Amino acid sequence: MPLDRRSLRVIAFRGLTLTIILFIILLLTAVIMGATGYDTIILNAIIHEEVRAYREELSRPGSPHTPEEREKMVKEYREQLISIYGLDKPWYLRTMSLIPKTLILDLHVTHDEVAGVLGLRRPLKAGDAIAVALPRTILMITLAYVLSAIIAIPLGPYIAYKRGSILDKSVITYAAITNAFPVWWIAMLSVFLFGFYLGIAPSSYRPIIAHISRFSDSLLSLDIPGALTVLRDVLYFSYIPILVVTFAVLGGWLYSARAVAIRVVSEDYVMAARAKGLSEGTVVRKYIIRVIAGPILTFVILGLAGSIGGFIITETVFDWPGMGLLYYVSIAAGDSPMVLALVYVTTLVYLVARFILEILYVILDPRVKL
Amino acid sequence: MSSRRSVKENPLVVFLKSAGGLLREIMKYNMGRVGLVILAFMIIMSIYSIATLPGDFPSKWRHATEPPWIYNPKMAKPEWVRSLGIDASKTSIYSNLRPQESRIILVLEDIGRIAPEYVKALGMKKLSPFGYVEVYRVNYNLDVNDYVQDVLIIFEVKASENVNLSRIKMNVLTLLTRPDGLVLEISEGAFTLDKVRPVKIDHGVFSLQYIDYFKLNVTLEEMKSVYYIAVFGEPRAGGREFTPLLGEYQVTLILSYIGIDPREIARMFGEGSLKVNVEIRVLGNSCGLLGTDNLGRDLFLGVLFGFPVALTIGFLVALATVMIGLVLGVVSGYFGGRVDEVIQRLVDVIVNVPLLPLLILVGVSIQTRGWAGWPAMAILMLIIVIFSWGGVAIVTRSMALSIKSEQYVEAAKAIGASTSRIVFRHIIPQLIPYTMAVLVFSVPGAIIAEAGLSVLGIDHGLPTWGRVLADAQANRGIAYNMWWWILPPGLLLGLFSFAFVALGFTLETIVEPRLRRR
Repeated sequence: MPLDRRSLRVIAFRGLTLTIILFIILLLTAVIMGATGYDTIILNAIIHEEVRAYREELSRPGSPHTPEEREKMVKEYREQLISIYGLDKPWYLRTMSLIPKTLILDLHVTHDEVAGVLGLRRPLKAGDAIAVALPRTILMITLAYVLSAIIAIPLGPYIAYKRGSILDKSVITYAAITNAFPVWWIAMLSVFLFGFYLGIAPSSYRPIIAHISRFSDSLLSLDIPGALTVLRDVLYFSYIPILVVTFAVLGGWLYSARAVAIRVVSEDYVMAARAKGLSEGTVVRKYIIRVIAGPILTFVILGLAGSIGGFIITETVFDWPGMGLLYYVSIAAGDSPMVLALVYVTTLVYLVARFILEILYVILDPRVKL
Repeated sequence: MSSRRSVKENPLVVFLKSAGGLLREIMKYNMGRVGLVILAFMIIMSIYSIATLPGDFPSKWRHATEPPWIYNPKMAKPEWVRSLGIDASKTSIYSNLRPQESRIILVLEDIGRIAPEYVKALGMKKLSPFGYVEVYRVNYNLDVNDYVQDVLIIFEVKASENVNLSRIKMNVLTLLTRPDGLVLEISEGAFTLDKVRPVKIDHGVFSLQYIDYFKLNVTLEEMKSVYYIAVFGEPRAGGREFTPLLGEYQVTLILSYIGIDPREIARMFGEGSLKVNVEIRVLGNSCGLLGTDNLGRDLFLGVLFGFPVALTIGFLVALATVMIGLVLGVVSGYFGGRVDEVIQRLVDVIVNVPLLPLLILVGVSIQTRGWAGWPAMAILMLIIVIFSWGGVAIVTRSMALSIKSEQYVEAAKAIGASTSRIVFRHIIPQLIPYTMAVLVFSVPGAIIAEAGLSVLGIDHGLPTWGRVLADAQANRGIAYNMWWWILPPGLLLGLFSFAFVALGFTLETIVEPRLRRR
């Protein structure tokens, strides 16, 4: 269906709004980092370290400089650094200057531990860091989301259909339980149970770095048998995290799929279809799934978009070197550029997903007025 | 979620007139009953916690390497596992002990009369106790296949002002009579009464005679690391492997006071101007209701403190969030126009802000500044409130919009009702059922977020369930072998959360009749 001018205007307006939201969120992050004094402390520490290294270099034996000259040079160097890092300027000028660079991802990781947590070294571009961390998060969390969706979408309407049955009650209880227990605690429990107590899974997941890179290396060199052997290691280091996240996420998905379907199941036209003598399978497929496809699609797309930010706490508990752990280490180390880059990328992906959905709504349902 | 239908026929509006009615309605549902029971348990535990724990408990908990924690066994299992047949030696605390014997000893041989075990262990050494001597004895039954961590003696000196404590010296000698009749000197200490300190099993005094007894091929250095195994065990034939020696042990404590005339000391004890309270602790591998952590902190107390914190914080944060959302949502929906526009854009931003990273960022700043305790917690909770009201505002706005165009609201306007009357009499009451359901749902949010932050290593300085789990996470290698450290706080967190999810589901069903079972 061609888009009329009004729809286009609506879409353009939404696009603009979402862009402004993205910008404000970046600004807000920068302000919070600056105004709380968070980045000043960290930058001072960096300058202190670099000045110390410079002083040591100058005072090597055989240096042509007198101690007075040296002191002067060190002082100049320090002032130079202060102006490079912008500590002579107020925080708002300094952090704001990072924002344009964030938009084109022209940022560098400034802390060794941030690169180290990914198994990399500095110098490292923020974009490259994300490119390394993202597949690992997709392996653990996005995969778990996909599994949950595959299970929940066909099952949801079925459960809605059998409302009040034992199956329905147990799904609600399951959803309530997984809603109540934080995923990261289930993760702790699984490390305790499977890693330490039963010993059938790793107790630290850090080695996944090596296995994934070996796996992708053998794939790239078209060494399929080699890749398959490595795949076993990859699976050994990932099946528990994937299962834990799936277990935790599935409850919510089942409940939502059921809730969406329940509204449809009791509609008159479904009753009519059933009264006509259509088979239950046909009724579910043609009269229920089709109607709930919209809300379910929204749910799936937003879920997948949200998943790429990683689970910060769960990844930390598993010591799983993905986006979540990268996020946490960047914040803890005070790596403001990396934090901004992560906020930018994850928010961007989420907002783009929302934007796509909104375009779909406009295309599919011309009545939608935004 | 509730729909934007007219709420006139909504049963909850009727029930709200009496809280009892609401409770009765909740009790009709299984989920509701479960939720209420858990909630009642949480409230009772909170009251118990506030009544029993001292006000400075958070600071005590933070200072983990100070009393009372260092007087506890470390990594001890919960006591009740013993009744499940798990081999964990019990911890016995003998306090307010009275000396079995007390007399002035000046002739060295006399010690044998009041403490024959002394002679058995050490023979007649030159420096045997003399002066004013007290002998304490306690019995400990090692009844399971396990060793004992330590035998600890704690003193508490009380004296009237005219007693010069720095002049009185106390020699402490601890003997252990084993079930096999062997008597060992297990610790020794000497200090003036103004500087008393606890005495533990002392590696150094490990008598060579003891090592000879076992014909052990171990050096004294090695002995230090296995001393408790040697003291409470016997070697298996031929090897260096030990098995616990079960049976009745007797701890004999010989205190000798010297420095001033023993008769003077005896007089002071007699008239009560000098008092030394003695406590003997045999530290086994089980202790308390929930065991101890790697520093000897009683995990039950840590978890107990978490109850009122979880309830208060959860409830306050949820209330603040929902109230802000309700007010701004209604204002936005009812007044429309520019106000609506501003609020809606604000909502757009805050629902998209990545809250957890933001909380971590603020948490890290708080930590670098060294803030701890309730203020740190308050800042974190404030951030949660500021960025969480968006969802409520979106729904209450749309509900307010639909109520606004109802005929009875139009009618009220037509007869000249004021805006505040319409908002407070016609709109807000109808939103209350929905708001209550959301309120109940969001109670656990704050405490779960707090727990997550703690596990990440952000320390707000209060002992909460999250904090206890965070300590476990920080000591991964040790704690992951201790289920009693990982399970209870997490289970409570989940149980707490489950109670409100269950109550929320129930309220939602009551509010939204379409979800009701037919």
